[in-house]
Amino acid sequence: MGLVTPHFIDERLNSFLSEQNAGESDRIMAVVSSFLPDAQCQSNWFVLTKERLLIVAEMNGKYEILFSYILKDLKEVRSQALKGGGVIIVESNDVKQEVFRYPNSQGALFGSICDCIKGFLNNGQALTFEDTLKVVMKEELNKFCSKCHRPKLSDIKACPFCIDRKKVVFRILSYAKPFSGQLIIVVVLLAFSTLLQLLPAIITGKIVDKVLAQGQVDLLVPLLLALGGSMIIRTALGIVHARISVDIGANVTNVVRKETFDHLQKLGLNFFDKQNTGSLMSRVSHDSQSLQGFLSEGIQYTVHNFFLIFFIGITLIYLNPVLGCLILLPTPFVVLISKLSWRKLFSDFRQYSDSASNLTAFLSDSLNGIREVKTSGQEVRMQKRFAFWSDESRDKIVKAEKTLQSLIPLLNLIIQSSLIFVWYFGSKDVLFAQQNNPSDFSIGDLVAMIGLMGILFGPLQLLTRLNDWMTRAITAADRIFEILDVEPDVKNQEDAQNTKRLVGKVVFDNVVFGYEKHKPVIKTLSLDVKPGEMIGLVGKSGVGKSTIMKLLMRLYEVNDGSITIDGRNIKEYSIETLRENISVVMQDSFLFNRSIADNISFGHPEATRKEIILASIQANAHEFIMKSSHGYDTMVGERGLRMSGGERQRIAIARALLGDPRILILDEATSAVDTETEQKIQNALQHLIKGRTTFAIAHRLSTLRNADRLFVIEDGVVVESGSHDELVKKEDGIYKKLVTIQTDWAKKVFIGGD
Amino acid sequence: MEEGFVETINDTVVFLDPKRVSFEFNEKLFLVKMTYENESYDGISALPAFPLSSRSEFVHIYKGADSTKLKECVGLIEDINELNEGSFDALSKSIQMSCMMPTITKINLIYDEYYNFHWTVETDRGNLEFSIGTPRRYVFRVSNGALLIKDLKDDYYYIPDPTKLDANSRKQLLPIL
Ligand SMILES: Nc1ncnc2c1ncn2[C@@H]1O[C@H](COP(=O)(O)OP(=O)(O)OP(=O)(O)O)[C@@H](O)[C@H]1O
Ligand SMILES: [Mg+2]
Repeated sequence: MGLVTPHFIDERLNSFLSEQNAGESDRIMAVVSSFLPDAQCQSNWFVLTKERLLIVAEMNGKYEILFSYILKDLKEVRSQALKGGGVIIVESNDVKQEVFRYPNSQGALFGSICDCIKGFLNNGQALTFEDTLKVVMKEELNKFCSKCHRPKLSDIKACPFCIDRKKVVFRILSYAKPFSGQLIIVVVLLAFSTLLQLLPAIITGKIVDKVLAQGQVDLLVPLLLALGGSMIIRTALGIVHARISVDIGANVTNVVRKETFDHLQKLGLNFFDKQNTGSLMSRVSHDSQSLQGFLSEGIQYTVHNFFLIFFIGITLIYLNPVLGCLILLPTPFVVLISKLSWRKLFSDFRQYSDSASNLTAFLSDSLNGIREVKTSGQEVRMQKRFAFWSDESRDKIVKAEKTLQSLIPLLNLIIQSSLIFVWYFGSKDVLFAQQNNPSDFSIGDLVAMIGLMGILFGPLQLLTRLNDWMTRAITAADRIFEILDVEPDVKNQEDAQNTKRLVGKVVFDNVVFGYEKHKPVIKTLSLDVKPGEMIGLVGKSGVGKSTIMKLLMRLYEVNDGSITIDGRNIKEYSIETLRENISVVMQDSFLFNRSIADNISFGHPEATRKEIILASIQANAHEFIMKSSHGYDTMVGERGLRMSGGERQRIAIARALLGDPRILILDEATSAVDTETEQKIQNALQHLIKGRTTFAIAHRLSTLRNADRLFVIEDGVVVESGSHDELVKKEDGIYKKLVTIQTDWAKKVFIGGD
Repeated sequence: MEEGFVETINDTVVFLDPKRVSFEFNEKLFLVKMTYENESYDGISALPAFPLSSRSEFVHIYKGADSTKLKECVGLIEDINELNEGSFDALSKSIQMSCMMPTITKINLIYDEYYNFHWTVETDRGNLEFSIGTPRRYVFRVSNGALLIKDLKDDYYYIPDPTKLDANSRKQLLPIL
């Protein structure tokens, strides 16, 4: 069976391929791209059979084979990223050809396909070839909605066109289930209060008829009492159901919000790599807010207005069937106009909120980067840019509001126009009834009808907006559910081992890892570290030193190979065990917006003040902390800005030391401190390192002087290993070269060479 | 100090003399051939340093499409407009093959549906349809007024100067900008 991209192969192409012996049974895969080899936009097929590679395009209404190769004659097949897309290069008989072009979105897909073909050419195993491809193709398919085949908005889930609205509404309501008693009370109260809302109009009619027309003065006080009573009761009911609704809305939102945050904490780093933090933040705070609006106000208004229209409709038709219908005459017009204009309005308002977001984004950017702005003297340019976004935001809101403000009076006019008809036909009816049968239709009835009309048109306008209201709430809910539906990839195995104290023997066995699977950063890397050893990792910027450490902490899952601690795969330990036994000072340590003490004890909230102070002394941080305005209680400013780079690092070191870890990771932990301070920290670390497995990463090689062994990393593998003394003896060694460069440079700077 | 700096640039990157270099396009094999004095390279690839804001300037010529490593770079053409006509066309073709985002020349319709905008456009490479989400996150303004558009699938499209589009195209763009 052949694998095919979402764009399915039609009969005509299929039969063409069959003629070429590339029919469904022979085919391994067929993928379509939107570029011809000369980069013109047109469908172009990449077809693989067990023996051949075909590139097929449609030329002048006929399928044509542009290139055809026997797979085993090929020397190499590889993909190369270009701008906005990429190209597949095929090499055979010493001729290189660019045979196929694909758009940006298919980069990962064709990268993997080429890897598979490479594997096939090297060891000729057709089976793995297909299995890997299936995974890749599944990933490709995942980008599209399985129902409508449209590309999806995010790589998580949910196609806005295929959201099953009912399902989402039920899911929202399922969160309201614990409050179902309260919900029923709200609905019942709403029904009563809606009925009471009709009373004033009806009573006014009675006052006109009985008191004013027929002179029954003794009825005036009871009628007015009833009027006042109904208003008081209705107000009371209104207060009660509004309060209950607020309760339900806030509680449900709270549950959803907490659940979302809890879930986010469980998700692996690779989820966050792909997501924009701002968008996640808005999902937790803003979307759950929209949900609350819908649950507490939306449901209330909706139910209320349905009752209102229903009850008023009945009353009107009961009072005077013909006139009742007349009143409802403008309804379709109101609905139609609102519907038509709402589309535009909605888009206008969305543009406004987009421009407002742009403004906020620019604001936060320029304030976060205020140091850069000031040091490069760009204040005036920033002012101009801000003015641009600010003006744009003004223009958008003016446009949206002007439309809205013209629309409302227009709708009112249409609604009020029916008043003229009602007065006209109503007055005639009243006069006619007075001459024939006064009980048919009295002046009071007419007054009551006109009163009811006033109430009716409010909800009519609202109803037209209901759809959008629902849409917004449903989309908000769906965005939240999207997060809830992501399975955490790094999680405890069922029989995860809780080990209080590890010994610290670390082995990497042929580890392969890439942040994106098709671009491995670590390629078959092997390390063997004895307990208590101090290891230095050396290598150029970007070779993956930090990545290796992240894998050891199991922040990411390896793609292939294994990492063991004390002879057991790290997957078999509980994540808690790993966190307790491994401490890390990260290259870009983050300080939370809390006190210094809280930051140091972040991983160990139970630590005593004494322990915190001792750790800080060892990290050479005590002195400057004591100098800070409130000592250990000094609040770290937003983004840790009020600390110098070196100060931040030392706090992070103290944080790492506090836990008495078995394995210590120092990733450029002292890169930002002066040599003298580093010396002090190193000395402090010396006795801490004793008995602990330590990994140290540093570009300043003098930092690694004390390491028992050094591993030099290049292109994803260990290329050299040994002690400092061994490595500097190696002729042509990479490490030796690095050391020479650094000492030469130091000589130049400090001794003042040429 | 200054001089040494320039020297190193010249050591690693050669500026090619537009008068002495020529390019040819092989339509069968989709290959571009470069000839410089007596040397010739088959299947070069050309990458401008500013693929969005200025495609015709600082075009790097690589020996093949295999890599963008500096040592594979044959040289650099400061402005391709200084080439003779045939070479200009061939090199433009090569640039088009390595900067694959289609340039939108005309917008027939942008239709808005549930936070999504569906575009029907004409480009320098043929007619296309694609969809984007909220413009704020899918349409980017490049420095000199150009627009870079990323669609829902992560493919890129490009409008060099929106003000130069025809009236209907500009009207269609209104809700986006
Ligand atoms: N979260 C991520 N998502 C995608 N790619 C990443 C991510 N983190 C790092 N990379 C990439 O992986 C490679 C290795 O990064 P890593 O941080 O491990 O390098 P490093 O050796 O620690 O470098 P340095 O010495 O500069 O700290 C780099 O090419 C980097 O761009
Ligand atoms: Mg690093």
